[in-house]
Amino acid sequence: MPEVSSVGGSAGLAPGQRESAPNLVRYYSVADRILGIKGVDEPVLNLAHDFLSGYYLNQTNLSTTDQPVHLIEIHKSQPPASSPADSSFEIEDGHCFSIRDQITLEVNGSTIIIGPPQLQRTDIWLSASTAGRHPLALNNVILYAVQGALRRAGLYQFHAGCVISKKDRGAILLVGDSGCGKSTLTATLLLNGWRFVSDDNLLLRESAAGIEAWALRRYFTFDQATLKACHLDLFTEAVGSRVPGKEEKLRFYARQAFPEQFVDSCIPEAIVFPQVTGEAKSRIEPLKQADSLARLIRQCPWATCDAAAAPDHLQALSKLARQTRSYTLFAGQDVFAQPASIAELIAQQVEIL
Amino acid sequence: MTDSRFVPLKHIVATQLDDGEGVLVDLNTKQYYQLNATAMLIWRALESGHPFDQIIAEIVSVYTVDNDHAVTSAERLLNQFQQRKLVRPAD
Repeated sequence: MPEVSSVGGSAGLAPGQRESAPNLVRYYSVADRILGIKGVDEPVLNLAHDFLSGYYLNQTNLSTTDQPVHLIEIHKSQPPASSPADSSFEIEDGHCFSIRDQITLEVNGSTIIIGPPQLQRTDIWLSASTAGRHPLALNNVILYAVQGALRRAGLYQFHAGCVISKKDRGAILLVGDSGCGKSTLTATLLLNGWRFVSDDNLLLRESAAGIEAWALRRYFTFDQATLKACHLDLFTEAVGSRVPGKEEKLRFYARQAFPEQFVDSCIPEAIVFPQVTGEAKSRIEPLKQADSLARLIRQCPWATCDAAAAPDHLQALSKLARQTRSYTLFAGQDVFAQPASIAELIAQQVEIL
Repeated sequence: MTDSRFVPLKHIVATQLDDGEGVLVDLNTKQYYQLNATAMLIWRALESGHPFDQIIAEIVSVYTVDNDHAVTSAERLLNQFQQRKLVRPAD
């Protein structure tokens, strides 16, 4: 599900305005690839920029050797008339329509068209309605567009934590639904000296060395109780604002609290699927590759929904399942009571095998 | 069934894992299926265009199983593939 972060408002985004000014383009580097964002004026580009500042998409100048892998263009005009779709399904805050290898998303009244792969472009027509111009609604639209553009560029957004043991014996992905304890576990491990890539938001990228995990979001999210239970509330300078749209969640800038422990990318060697239990003691059980792959696919709905990207996306998940050992972690009450023991339990699995 | 030949449909993406098991993903229905090693062997044989008799021979050569048992198991699996619209009869 998409997440939202606040933007500095939508002032200057006059709906229905004719596109007459020359288009402006900004470039962002992410996971060693470059994404272009094109818009009719500075306010439109600032809207996207404010949103992207919450993620490891860094504005960059385009050198003569760099070429953007994908261009997102933000329009103020009306979207083109839609063609009959091959298939359609509901997404959060809207619908997705698939026409061969192009997908159209209607989100919060805005329209996003992720074009056929050979065009390497995504177009956004922003909603003219007041509700559709709400910063949360616009953030949602930009998030869907950026995720789609990244997918077409071979960068697959993935909800997982990623940590590296103290002895550098391999990176571990923590994978599961929202509320399964990924962030808590990541916090527990980094308090025990482990290094980290992310608590919940990564990009997967295929390289000659294997499937890499790259940090995507700059902050962790915790509710107040978990922040306190993990003693992270003591790092006052790293505790940020509330997450708009998820008012119970606070941003936590882990890189600020643990600057030496941040790693921007790694090659995962194990996957742990945490499950919260009421048991006193945590335990860990191995998983077969096919079970692991099935769980990975379930966590990545776009791996089956974006027809043009799906074969490569599924191949990346399949390679990830093959390059890693997988486990289910039945997380008990000792996660909070004896955090060092959970770190030891996971470290043993990584280091014994 | 034994005279028939089936081919996997194009919208099915198959992945084989190190232990021989596999996963099929139907890009039309968004469903995915876990296949054990025997089912995956049959799927790979279908991808290669092998006729039913050859698939049975492959199963018997890999697993300790008699011919009748292999035929029954393969027929049951091919029926499931057909019912779930994962394969079609070859032209």
